[in-house]
Amino acid sequence: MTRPETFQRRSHLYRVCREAGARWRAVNGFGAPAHYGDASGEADAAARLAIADLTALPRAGYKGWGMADWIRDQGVFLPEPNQAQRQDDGTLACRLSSGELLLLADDEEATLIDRLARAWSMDDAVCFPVPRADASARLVVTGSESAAMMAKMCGVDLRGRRFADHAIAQTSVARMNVIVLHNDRGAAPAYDLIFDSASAVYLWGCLVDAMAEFSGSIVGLDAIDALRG
Amino acid sequence: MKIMPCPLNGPRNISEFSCGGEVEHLPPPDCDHAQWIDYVYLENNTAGIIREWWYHTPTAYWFVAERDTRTDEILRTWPAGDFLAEFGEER
Repeated sequence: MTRPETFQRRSHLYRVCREAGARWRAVNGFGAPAHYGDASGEADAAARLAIADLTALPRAGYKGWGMADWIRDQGVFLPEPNQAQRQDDGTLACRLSSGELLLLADDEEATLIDRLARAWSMDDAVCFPVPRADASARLVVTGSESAAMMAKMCGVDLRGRRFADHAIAQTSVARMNVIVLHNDRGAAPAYDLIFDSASAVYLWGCLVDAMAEFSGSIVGLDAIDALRG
Repeated sequence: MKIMPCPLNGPRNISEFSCGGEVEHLPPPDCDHAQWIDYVYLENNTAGIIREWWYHTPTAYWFVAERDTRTDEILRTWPAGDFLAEFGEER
């Protein structure tokens, strides 16, 4: 069986996921939880309420007063602040302010993120890269009960009719600074949480505690991929 | 819960913000000690409408808010750039 220690990169949550019975697969140089022993059951659970560790998926950030001009020159469609926009290759461009962008890939292919990393250079920099791949962790809360569960942890109304798909709230979740992205997977509501990676175990514990009331589950990447169809 | 209308993030709980103190002119570099002491240590403590720097912690975002200290009502907020463009030296 694949073990996370055999990979060079691991999520801060790998011990927690191992305790929960994770079965691993290689994603982007990480050992990432594929499932926890019941792949088809997890797909059903993810449609109702589940959390998954997506830290292994590629992400990047750029910040600075020249960010908008530079990123448009690279062919990226730039949304308004606190909105995300899906790019041609599937990457989500999340604009955090007039001068900051976060890029999230929903699978291992990250054409745009790789291309921007090659295009950026110190010599003619008008913005600088933010080390999102290392400094941030990424979790997802999926399913029809996800907004109700998040209401226990976050003061912003995240229900779909008030917080549309691809809206972003940079706010406090369980007393931590968290970027909340409404990023539905197929027909299932879903919220991506991007936050300081050093606090991943704390926030994971808060989420597990909060979803117990709704009989939520821990699921792997396979279940999230199944929701996306 | 008190609500702050953040120019970047919209209405949010006040617990997400820190106050950075009243908007004041930096004294000229050659000013005397009394002026520096006034700038660094002494608050105006105005009973009325004042303008303050505020900071939204989750986004590391500074902006200016106008607040009535008698009622603790927040009357208006500006992105820092808009505030400086509108008031410039007058502030």
